Amino acid sequence: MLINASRKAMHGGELGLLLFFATTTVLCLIIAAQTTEGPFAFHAALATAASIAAIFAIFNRYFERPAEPAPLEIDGKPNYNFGPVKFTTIAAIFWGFAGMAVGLIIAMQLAFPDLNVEPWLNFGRVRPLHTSAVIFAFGGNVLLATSFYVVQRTSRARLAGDLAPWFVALGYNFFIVIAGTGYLLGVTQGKEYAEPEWYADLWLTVVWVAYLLVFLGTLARRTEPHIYVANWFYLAFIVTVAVLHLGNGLALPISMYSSKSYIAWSGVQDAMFQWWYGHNAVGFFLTAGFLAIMYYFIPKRAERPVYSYRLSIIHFWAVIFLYIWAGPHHLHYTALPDWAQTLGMTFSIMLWMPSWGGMINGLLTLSGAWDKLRTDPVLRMLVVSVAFYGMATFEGPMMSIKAVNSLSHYTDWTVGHVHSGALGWNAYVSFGAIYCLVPWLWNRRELYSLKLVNWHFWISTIGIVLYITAMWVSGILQGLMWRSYTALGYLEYSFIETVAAMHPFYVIRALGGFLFLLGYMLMIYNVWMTIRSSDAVSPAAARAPSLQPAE
Amino acid sequence: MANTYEWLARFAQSAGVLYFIALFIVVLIYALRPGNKDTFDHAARAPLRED
Repeated sequence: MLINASRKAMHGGELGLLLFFATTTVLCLIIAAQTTEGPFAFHAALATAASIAAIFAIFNRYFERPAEPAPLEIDGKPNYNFGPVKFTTIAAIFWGFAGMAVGLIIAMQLAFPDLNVEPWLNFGRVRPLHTSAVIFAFGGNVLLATSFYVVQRTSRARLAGDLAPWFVALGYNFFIVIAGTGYLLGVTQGKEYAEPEWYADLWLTVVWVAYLLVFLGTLARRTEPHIYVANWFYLAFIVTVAVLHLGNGLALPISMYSSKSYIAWSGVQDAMFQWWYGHNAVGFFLTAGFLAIMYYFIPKRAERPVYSYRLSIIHFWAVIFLYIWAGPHHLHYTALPDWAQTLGMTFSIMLWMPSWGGMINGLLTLSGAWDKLRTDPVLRMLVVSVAFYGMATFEGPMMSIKAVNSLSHYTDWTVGHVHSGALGWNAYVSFGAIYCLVPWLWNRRELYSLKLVNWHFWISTIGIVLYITAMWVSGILQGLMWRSYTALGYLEYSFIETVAAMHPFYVIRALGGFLFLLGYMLMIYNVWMTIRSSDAVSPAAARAPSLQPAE
Repeated sequence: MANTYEWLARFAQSAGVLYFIALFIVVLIYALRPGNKDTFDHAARAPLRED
């Protein structure tokens, strides 16, 4: 016993991270003491506390763990590491609720401006909280969870690193906390979808590099010779988000003791960088990453192989090469050179083809299994998500055409478009993945209730339909009112008249959002009851397809 | 300075197009080569294989 204990030693990762967190403890403590800005001091204190907690956690884990590192295989089967997957799944569900609830609040604020509570809960501060919470906190954790799951399963290898996956999972969620509290306290760069200030950006960079290394390390361990296409999409998502984040986030803080920084780019270059980043956050975070989810969970749930693997390769590369150029369509009729606007528009229209390549591949994977849509609401959710993906990627290129954009830009049509993608595609494919993952991870035969999934599906579908149609009507109404002139050449409507005209649609939108949130709460209950239920089965039985009535 | 910009823009607009077309052809050859059929058929079933 004594000999065993003496043989146990800290590995390089543990020592390295202890040193790293000791440094951040001291550094953040100094910043917290020196800065004169309240929110920055709060964040520095939070980082100090988190660093100390990390040091304790690393020591605790060291004392608890066996001397030998976790085996890569047990009885010839990969010894998968699902701890970080479980954590990020739960985190995704938590942040999803927060983000969607905040979304409902701002929808209500738009319909009833009295709900603006100054200064912390006014629309300007809460809106980025909503967008970041649903995209980066909910979507990001879904991507972390599914990527860590899929890369292990399809590589037949244990996740690389011992502490590294936990560093990524916890570090990413710490970034979310810093970003979210920062918005409410008024810390922002003012760049859409890239609001966090320099220190949060810096931290995210460290976490993201660790994420890339964990992912690549797992791929390097794979026992399958071919890298499955879902992993290509995940890799494209991780690498491109890193590049985008570094390009758009380049900023010079005014001092180490200030949260304020200035962006390296100026004027129209900054705008160009911002929308190169912004549109590719859509393209690589919300598209490539979620297509990876589609390419694993739809074949698995439908028990059918990918319809055309060749198509998946061709549309992967086409999406990658075209998306990166589409950003300028956010800057039509601005100071951006005309040729750049046209280029953005052209690439956006070309993007339609590879996007539909993905949609076709996802939908036709069901060939021979369409009847499962009748009995399996989880699969229905996944398939409807792909249909929404097809719809949103048709609408997007259309809206990027300059003539259409002159009507749609700055109106609620854009908001409707974004939400048909975000609710219909991203959220639905995430829900489908979560409904699959939870029984697999917690070794349950099936979800607590498929009937509740069915209710979730229909309530939220009605919610989406109300949301999108309200925004189409309000957006086009708004656009037409802005551009209508009287016979004498004056603008026919004042701005406030357009706001008044949109009011009923804002109420309908809030109702749609409420229904979507209501459906989401059914999912939370369902997941909770599934995890709580005591009928644990073997991991293999949890992954086995449930028998259909006819079989 | 203006000359540099024009040269760069022209180079990007011509060589860039050719570069992307060439890359796309490489992708097409890789995806459609009959020799890769077995690999891809095997890969298409990757999510279905249990260990």
